[in-house]
Amino acid sequence: MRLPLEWLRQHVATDLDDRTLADRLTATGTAVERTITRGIPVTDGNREAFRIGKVLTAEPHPDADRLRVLSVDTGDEAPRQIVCGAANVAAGQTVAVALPGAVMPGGQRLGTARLRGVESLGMVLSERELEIAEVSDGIMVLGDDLPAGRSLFDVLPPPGTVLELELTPNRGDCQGIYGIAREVHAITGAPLHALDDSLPPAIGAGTVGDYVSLRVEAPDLCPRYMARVLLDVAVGPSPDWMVRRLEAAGMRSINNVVDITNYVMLLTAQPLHAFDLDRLAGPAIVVRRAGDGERIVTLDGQDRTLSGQHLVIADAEQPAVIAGIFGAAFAEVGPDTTRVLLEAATFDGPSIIRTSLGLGLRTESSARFEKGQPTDLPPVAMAIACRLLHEVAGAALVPGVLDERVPGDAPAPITLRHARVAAILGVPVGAGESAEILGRLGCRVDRGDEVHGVTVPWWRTADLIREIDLIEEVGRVHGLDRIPARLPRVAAQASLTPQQQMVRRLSRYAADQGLSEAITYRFVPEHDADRLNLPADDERRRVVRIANALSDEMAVMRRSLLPGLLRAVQRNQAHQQRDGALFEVGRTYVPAADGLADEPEEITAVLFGAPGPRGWRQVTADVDVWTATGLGVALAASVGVAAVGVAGVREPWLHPVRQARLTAGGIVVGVAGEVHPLVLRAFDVKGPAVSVTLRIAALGQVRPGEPRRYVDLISVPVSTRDLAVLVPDTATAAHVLDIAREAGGDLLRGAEVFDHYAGDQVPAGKVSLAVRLTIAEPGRTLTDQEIDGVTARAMAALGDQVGAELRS
Amino acid sequence: MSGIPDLTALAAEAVALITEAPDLEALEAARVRFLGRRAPLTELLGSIGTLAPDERGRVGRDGNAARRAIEDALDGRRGHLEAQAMGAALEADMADVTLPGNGHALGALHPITQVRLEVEDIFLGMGYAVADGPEVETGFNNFTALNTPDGHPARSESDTFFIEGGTDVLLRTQTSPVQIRTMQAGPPPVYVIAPGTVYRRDDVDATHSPMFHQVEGLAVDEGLSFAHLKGTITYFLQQLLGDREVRVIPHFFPFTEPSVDVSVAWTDGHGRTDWLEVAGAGMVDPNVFANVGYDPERWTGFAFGFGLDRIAMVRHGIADIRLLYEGDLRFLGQFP
Repeated sequence: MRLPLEWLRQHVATDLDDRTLADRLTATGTAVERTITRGIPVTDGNREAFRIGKVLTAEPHPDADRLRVLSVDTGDEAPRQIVCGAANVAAGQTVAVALPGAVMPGGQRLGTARLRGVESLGMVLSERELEIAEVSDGIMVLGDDLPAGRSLFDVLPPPGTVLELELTPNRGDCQGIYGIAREVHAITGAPLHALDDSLPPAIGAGTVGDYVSLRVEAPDLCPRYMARVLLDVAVGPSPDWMVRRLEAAGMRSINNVVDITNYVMLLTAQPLHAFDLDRLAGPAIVVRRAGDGERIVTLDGQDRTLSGQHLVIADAEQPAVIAGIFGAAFAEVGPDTTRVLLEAATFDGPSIIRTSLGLGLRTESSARFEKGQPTDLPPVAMAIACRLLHEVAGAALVPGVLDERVPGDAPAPITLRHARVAAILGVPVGAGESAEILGRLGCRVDRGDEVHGVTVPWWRTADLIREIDLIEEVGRVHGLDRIPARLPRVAAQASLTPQQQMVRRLSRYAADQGLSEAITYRFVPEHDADRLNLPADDERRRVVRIANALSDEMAVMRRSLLPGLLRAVQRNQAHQQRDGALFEVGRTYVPAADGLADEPEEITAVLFGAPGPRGWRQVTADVDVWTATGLGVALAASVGVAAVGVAGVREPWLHPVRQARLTAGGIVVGVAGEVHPLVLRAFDVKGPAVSVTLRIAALGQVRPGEPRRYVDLISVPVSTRDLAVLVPDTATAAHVLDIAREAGGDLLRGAEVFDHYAGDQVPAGKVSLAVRLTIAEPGRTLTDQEIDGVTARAMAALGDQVGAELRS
Repeated sequence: MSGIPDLTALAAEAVALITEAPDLEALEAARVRFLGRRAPLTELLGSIGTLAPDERGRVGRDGNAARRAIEDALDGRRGHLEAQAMGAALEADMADVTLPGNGHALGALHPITQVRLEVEDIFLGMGYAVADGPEVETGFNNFTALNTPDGHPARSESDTFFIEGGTDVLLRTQTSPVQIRTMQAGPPPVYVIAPGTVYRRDDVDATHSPMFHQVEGLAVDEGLSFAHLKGTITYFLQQLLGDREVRVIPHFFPFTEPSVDVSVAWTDGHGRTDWLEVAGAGMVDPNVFANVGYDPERWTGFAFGFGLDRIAMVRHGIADIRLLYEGDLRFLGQFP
């Protein structure tokens, strides 16, 4: 909301300067977003540089049809030559002149100019250039009684400061300038001038009932409707002072009648509507719900279709206004209007919001009605508007008023406990001070030693309802900056949960391995399921769907982190990033009952190209399935989970036979492998690329809860035996090691593959595996027989179960 | 066997020659000449048995002394020449140490994650637990229980994402529903923060993202006041952003009263200092306590919330929020 301070100061006599006032408003919750200065800037030189001038002569410009060369008396010894392009300039006029050196309202400094070869030692000004009006037609012509050379500062309205306020939604009362005046009174104590809400003399013939009838059919949506009739209205331009205030507040002048309704709305926060009485069928006013499909052509020329949800103000035949929001063209006040019906009403706030959102129409009027105006407000605004219509447009008020009002309860006094004020704010505020503050806010305060009984004024009944609302007001006006800052003595103790610690560790480990963490949008295109190659009946096609998605690209909640990361890879590759490694930790969304979701977390990494440290003597290798399984096993190990890769799984987004399931303790903790070429193509990613996914919950399930016990393999000898075995190429390394471990028994502390070979040196259909067995027992030295026994048992089992033979 | 040589002169001659030996080769030649199998001293010492008994003692003593003197000289000279040779070899093995050393992998946590971890650690230090709740949330928890009634504009389809197939199920628009879930889960005292992802139906541009990140804080206990809120948020912001001025001004939120906007004095890249709004906060509204069954006469509390994206952006001078969500390695690599 725009607040012209000149207008404000008419209603509250504060002696604070503009800047201090703005700071005080901000500090008490009426946030000043911006301070705008309108008019000629007050600078040292400007008093001299803006002057009254007399046009002595106006000759045609030798080289330009539209320009005139003027000789202007600006009070100097000799007249000065000024080139002017305005059509209305003529010799003999008294005009406003800016001399070279003047700082214009926009901030630019005027110099001497040469226009089509003729020197111009100044500029004759229009009202727009002086920021007196938004538009102007030619230069401003002043009264002839003003002497040449006099400063314009003595003549023009003083430069005005306009504050742009950000109001909070609970303060509907501050949507009018008088509401802010009350606020300034409350926060500064400056005297507030009462608003004159007396009616003009009711000199119109008859009574209001002779001219129009009123029926409110929807009192639930219209708690109060008032109408008055004014005759002999002379529609015309508004007086300058009103135009200036409207423009300072951001509204355009239309005609005096419409301007008065806007002016009073800006002042009081009560929107008004003026009808041309002679265009209303009946004449009647019916406040009713629209019929389904009923239509209205609004002032902007749009033909709108209404429904039973919408409240309208209709005449006997058709809707004349979408209540509280926008009027129809046919009933508006125009140049020929002489009889006006003036409406001041209140409407149900939520209904206004629904209608406004539904029709995509938000107006100055609807913005104020959204908050729900108090029913005591219409008569005040009505009176001020009638008086202005009388004074400005010569209107004759018809005696009587049509007034339909749903009776409301008078607000009950609220008990304010002084102890409670201290408990909430943390400092005691004296009973005298709180009474003073509430009194200045317009409350009636029945003072007491323990409690005050507080009756709030009609303009605050919507937001001051409970004790806590009053405490907020006391704190706000007392000054929140005056309340000391103290740290509470927190009785609680807390640490991260095991899962939170695990996620931190996984992320940190991944980053330390050279992967960069990405955060991608959690809403994704539904098409991702196809891009991931999921079969038609795959459970993972079930998704949480957004009913009002911004676009198809953000239509469903992700089931996997992989698509978001592949899109990131695609973007990176698009700018020649050939290699890289990304990971993300976050939720996936599995539909559950009632539209809700389970939200299991996972960590997914995607590596592409040949990432890793590379230098003048370091090379990196293209990623492949073992890059993925290795990272997966290491990530799991970083949180204490010993995972192994198991073959045989076929996730559709991975290469069918170059992927492994990662398991630990018999539980599947994740999957790793090369991304399927079809998936790469679907995401427009260049291979090679691999992905690893670990499920956080599964890791948590198998993660050891107890601290690991120390095993003494230091004070005893640890033996190793290497076996080179030929096995069929169908036997996987994991299977071979499992057999060896089982056969080796407790003395076998570890078994691992340290070489793998398939090729010319071994028979077709076979592979050569080199397996290292680690044999020891804590606290005891084993005999050679025991050690050889372990090796022999492992070899025998391998021979039995997979036909392994020792390689010679 | 001729006469016994002058052992002292022999030793002196040998030591002189050895000390002058220019290289290991010459040194070896000297050793062979003076201590080799056919060297006069070696032969003399080998033939002591043939000497007259009264000479044996003296020749043996003097001969061994001469040999030790020569050996010492040889060792000394050898050490010197070897050190010299090693020094020369090392000098010859010059490396350009300004070439880059072996690379080591170093990735990065996302700037939002980095801020979040710092925030968590500050509050963990103050005794707060870290909680979270679902992102697919009910309208009751996200709005109603937080004193935002049906029909409020924030609950409209233009502001909030709703989920198909649910009645008033939505993507949470704030982390505040975690307040409700935490309080429903147990009695006070409560000291908890809830970092998380939230959603609002804003079109993507440089300053808006339909998905972003918040941290919610909630403290409920006996005797908590606005002064404690002010103290907590001031301490926290100064820990996170440095020792700078913190300002609170009155504001409005449906679920706190009194409510405030919290700003810090911030100097931008052009040296201009202004108030930067970073958080909203307030005393928990008694209606919220009533909604979760806490006695508002016994318990008081405060809540606060702020955006992690915004803090990450001002801290690193990131002007475009979209950069946070693109996974661009040129961006992510700048915050190791």
